[in-house]
Amino acid sequence: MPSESEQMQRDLFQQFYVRVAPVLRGYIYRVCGDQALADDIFQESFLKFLRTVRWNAPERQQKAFIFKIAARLIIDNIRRIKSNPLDAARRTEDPESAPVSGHEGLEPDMKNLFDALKPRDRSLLWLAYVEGYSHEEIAAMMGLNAKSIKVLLFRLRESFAASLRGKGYSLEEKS
Amino acid sequence: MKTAICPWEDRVRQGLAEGGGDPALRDHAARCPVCRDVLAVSDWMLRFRDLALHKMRVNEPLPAPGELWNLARAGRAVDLITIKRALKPIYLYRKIAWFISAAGSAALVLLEFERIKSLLASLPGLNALAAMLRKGWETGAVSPAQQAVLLAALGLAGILFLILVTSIKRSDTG
Repeated sequence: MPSESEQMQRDLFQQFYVRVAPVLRGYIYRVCGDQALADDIFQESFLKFLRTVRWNAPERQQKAFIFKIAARLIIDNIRRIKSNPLDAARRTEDPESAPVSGHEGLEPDMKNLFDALKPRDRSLLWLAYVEGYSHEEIAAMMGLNAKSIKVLLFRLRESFAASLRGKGYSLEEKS
Repeated sequence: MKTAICPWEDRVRQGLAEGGGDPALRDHAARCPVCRDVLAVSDWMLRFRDLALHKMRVNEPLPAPGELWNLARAGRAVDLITIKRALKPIYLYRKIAWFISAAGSAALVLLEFERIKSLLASLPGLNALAAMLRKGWETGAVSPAQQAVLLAALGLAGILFLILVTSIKRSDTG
């Protein structure tokens, strides 16, 4: 029979899991590009999180903590993560690869652009532009310093925005 | 390449990730070239995320939170401290065995010193080498270079012996 505090922690975890698990799994899956590896890292992240979490910390801090665990696990498994630069280069040079109207080709186009990046750069882009973490928060997660993150993100943003425009995806038509 | 920076960048990214509802941020992003790129990349990345989440929701349901909770609890039940405690008697007996064999060897050397000495003397070449060294020392026939080489060889043998003994001890104690 679980104690009252254990039951309370279990409920807190359940609520946290419902909110965070889907986005965390999306991040790991997109960065790894491999479902089986992503599942392993996802499960291991939560197990490590549950071993050390402090339930009285604010949720943003807890979420940053589990993303940090996942980011570190991704770095540890970096050799198992697929890099596909050749494919992306081929697509960029190919005039037939122009985006389909209505952006039906968004998924494959974005996937190709994303997969052509190094796993570390995929992580950086995701943490900054999907999760909205600050340079300092990302620096703490990735074990780098904030200034390096600023420069790396600037370069990544420039090249990624240029690639998106090159494929016909622009901000103006979207918003 | 010069790094273009906007002090609003972090706020814009965070706002977009949280839903991007703040019109002040959107207004700023429309005017600022840095934040315009931030907005563009964020918007497309968020769409990319939504596609992934949709695909995964359909194809691969999330594991139940209770399953992970129980797994974590099971992992906690066999933590390192418990494992160490369980293995303690084995380490203790290994240590005792090491001390008994070391003490036994020392006793054997002391009790059977004469026999060991005669056994060593019977080894071909060893006696002759010892006699030659003794003679060289007494007569001064061994040159300083030879003496240095001999000392270095003895030192090396000592170090190798120490390494051997400590590695045996380390593997014994786990």
